[in-house]
Amino acid sequence: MRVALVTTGKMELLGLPSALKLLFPEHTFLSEESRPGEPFPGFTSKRVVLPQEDGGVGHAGKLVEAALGTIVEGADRAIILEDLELINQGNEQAVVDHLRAEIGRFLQKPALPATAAERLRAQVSFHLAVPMVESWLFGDPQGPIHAGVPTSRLPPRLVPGRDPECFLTEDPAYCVDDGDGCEAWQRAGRPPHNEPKWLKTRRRVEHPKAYLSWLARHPSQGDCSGYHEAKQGKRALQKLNWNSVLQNPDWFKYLRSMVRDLELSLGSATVSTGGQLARLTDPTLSRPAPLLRNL
Amino acid sequence: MSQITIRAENFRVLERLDWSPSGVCLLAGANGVGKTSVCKVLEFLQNLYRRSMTNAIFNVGGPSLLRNRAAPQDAMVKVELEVGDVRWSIEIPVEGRGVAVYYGERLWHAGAEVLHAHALQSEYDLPIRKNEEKPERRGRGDKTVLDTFGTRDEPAWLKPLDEFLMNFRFYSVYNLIEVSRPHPADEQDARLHPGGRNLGTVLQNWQKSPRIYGNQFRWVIDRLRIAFPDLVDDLEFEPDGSPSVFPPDSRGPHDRIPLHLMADGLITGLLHLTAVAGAPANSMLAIDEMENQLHPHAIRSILRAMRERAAERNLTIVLTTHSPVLMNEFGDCPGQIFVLDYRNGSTPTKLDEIKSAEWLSLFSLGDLYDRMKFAAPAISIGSAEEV
Repeated sequence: MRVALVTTGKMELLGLPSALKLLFPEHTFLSEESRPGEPFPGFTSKRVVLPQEDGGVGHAGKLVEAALGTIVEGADRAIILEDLELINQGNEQAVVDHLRAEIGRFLQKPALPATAAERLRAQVSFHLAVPMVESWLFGDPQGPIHAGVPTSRLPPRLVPGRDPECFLTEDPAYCVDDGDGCEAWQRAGRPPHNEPKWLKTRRRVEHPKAYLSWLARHPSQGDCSGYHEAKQGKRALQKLNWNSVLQNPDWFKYLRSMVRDLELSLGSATVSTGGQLARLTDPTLSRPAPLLRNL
Repeated sequence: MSQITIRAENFRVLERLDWSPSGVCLLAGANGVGKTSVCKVLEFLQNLYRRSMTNAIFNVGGPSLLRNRAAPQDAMVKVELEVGDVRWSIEIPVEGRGVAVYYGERLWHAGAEVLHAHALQSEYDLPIRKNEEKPERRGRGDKTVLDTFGTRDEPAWLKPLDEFLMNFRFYSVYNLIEVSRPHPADEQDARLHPGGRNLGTVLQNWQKSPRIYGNQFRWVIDRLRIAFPDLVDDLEFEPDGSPSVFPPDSRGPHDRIPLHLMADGLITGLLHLTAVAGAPANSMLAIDEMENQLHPHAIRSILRAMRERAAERNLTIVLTTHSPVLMNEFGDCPGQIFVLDYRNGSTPTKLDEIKSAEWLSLFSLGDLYDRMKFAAPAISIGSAEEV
C-alpha cells in the first residue's frame, strides 16, 4: 500500500517516511509537501478554539484538503500528523473539535467529488505527536545520540517513570541555563531570531525539543545548538528504535494510536505494538458521525 | 469569433508554441517562461501586417533577441496565425545577430496553399487570376505578401484574418505618466492605445457619441464604481480632456480627483475597463499581469466585467498572471487556466489536463499555485522522501 503523510514539521516531512518504513517494510510512505521542501503550516501553535463560523478553510482544513488530494492522486491511505504543542496540553479535545469543524466546512465546498466524505472516513486519519515529535526520540536510548547529543551528556535527566508524551526534565543545569555559554550568540549581540530554543519557552522543562537542543548545545553555533530538525532531527527519526519506543505499554498512547491505525490497514508492524491507545485518536473506537477514520 | 490558433518556433523564449485560446483565459507560469512572448507573437504578426518587418522586430527588442537562444544555428524563427480556415505563416532566417531581408511567407485557405514567398528570395508570384495566363511576379518590399495579395484581390475569405490582425491589442505595460498628460483630441480615437495614453480622449469620444459607441462609456463607469466603491461615484472631464472621478461623498467640483492625483490602481482599473469596453466584437485582447496595482476586490470585479463583456461581444481575453486571487476565480473552470511550463515545452496546457478535475476541485486554485503545484519555477529541492 501507498501511505501519504501530511505533516507540519520539517523533521516529520523529511524523516517520518523512513521511520514508518522500519515498521512496515512492505509498504510505501511518502511525504506530501506544502511547497517544495516545506511542511504544511500547523494549527496548534496557539491555544486552539473552535473556528469562527464565518471564516474560510483554515490551516486545519488545508491539512485535510491535502490529505484527500493524496488519496485522489492514488495514495491508499493518508495520515495527518500534527504536534499538540505545550500550549494545547489539556486542550486536546478542542484540537480535535477544531479539526472536525474545519472538515465540516471543507465538505460544504461546492463541486467537491461525491466521494469526498466517504474517502475521508475510509482512508484519512488524524494523529497527534504529543507534545511534539522530539518526545519520541526520548523513548529510544539512541535517539538523542542520533540527534547529535554527545554521549558524555547522556542519559537525559527525565523524571523517572514518566511517559515522554508527558515530558518533564529534572536537569538542574538545564533549568538555570540562561545562554551565557552561547559564545557565538553572545558575540552576535544575542539576536532574537537565533535565540537558543530553551530560552524561547517559559515551559522549558516540559519541552522536549528545547531540551534536546540544550543537550546538543554547541557554543560556536549561531543558535547555540548542534540539533536542527531538518538534519539531526531527520536522521534520528529515520533511525528510531520502535521496539524501545513502544516497549512500555502505558507510554506513547498517541503515537501508538497512529501505529495501530496503520496496522489496521497494512498488517502487523515489525515490532510489538500492544498497549494503551489515546482515546481521542484511537482508530479502534467506533464514533458517532465520524468524519475521518479515527475522528 | 473564428477559432484562433497561434503557433511559433524559436521565437524569443518560446521553443514551440501551438495554442488556441478562447473566452476569458489565464496564462500562468513562472517568471521568464514566455507568457509575455506568447502575446508578443500576435503583436509581432500584427505589426508585420500593419507596418513592416522592421517595425515588428524593433517592437520585440531587435533582431538579436528574436530567436530562441537554444535554437540551432541554422534554425529559422517561425510564427503563424490561423483564424478559421485561413492560415498565415512567416519564416525568418536568422544570420548572426541579424535577420535576412527576405523572410518566407505562406498563406493557406481551407487547407490549400494560396501564396508562397520563399525565404531568401527577392521575388514571388501572386496567385493566377481569371483570364491571366501566368502568375503576376512581384518584388519583395516592406509590405507583406499577404497585404499585397489582399489589396489586389480582396478575397472575402481573408476578412476574418484581416479583422483579427487589425483589432488585436496587447496591453503590456501602461505608461501612467503618459496617461496623466493631456492628449490631443481626436474624434476618431475610439480604441485605447496599448500604452493607455489616449484614455481621456477615448472616454470622451464615447461619452459624446452614444449612438456610435453605444453604452461603452456608461459601462466603464458603472463597472469602475463596483471595483472602486470608495473612490468612484461618477467620472467627468477636465477642460484639457483628462478624466476626473467624483467620490461617493463629493459635494461639488472641488471634491473631484483629477487623473494625476488618482491612485495608480484606480487608473489601472480604468484602463483595463476601457481596453475591454473598446474591443470590437469577435476580437481578441491580451493584458499582461492585469492584477498589478489592484486590490483583490478590484481584481475580482474587473474580471467579472471582462467576462460579462466577453460573453456579450464574443471576445477572447488572455490575461497573463501571477495572482492567486485571479486564479481562485477560475475554480469552476480550471480548463480556462493555461499553464506555460519549462517541462511541457512552450505550449500552454489546460490546467485540467495537467491535474485531474477531481483533484483540483478539492483546493483553491490560488492556493495550489502558491504551493507551486502548477506553473512553478523549475526548481528541484527533493527533500521530501518516498520510501
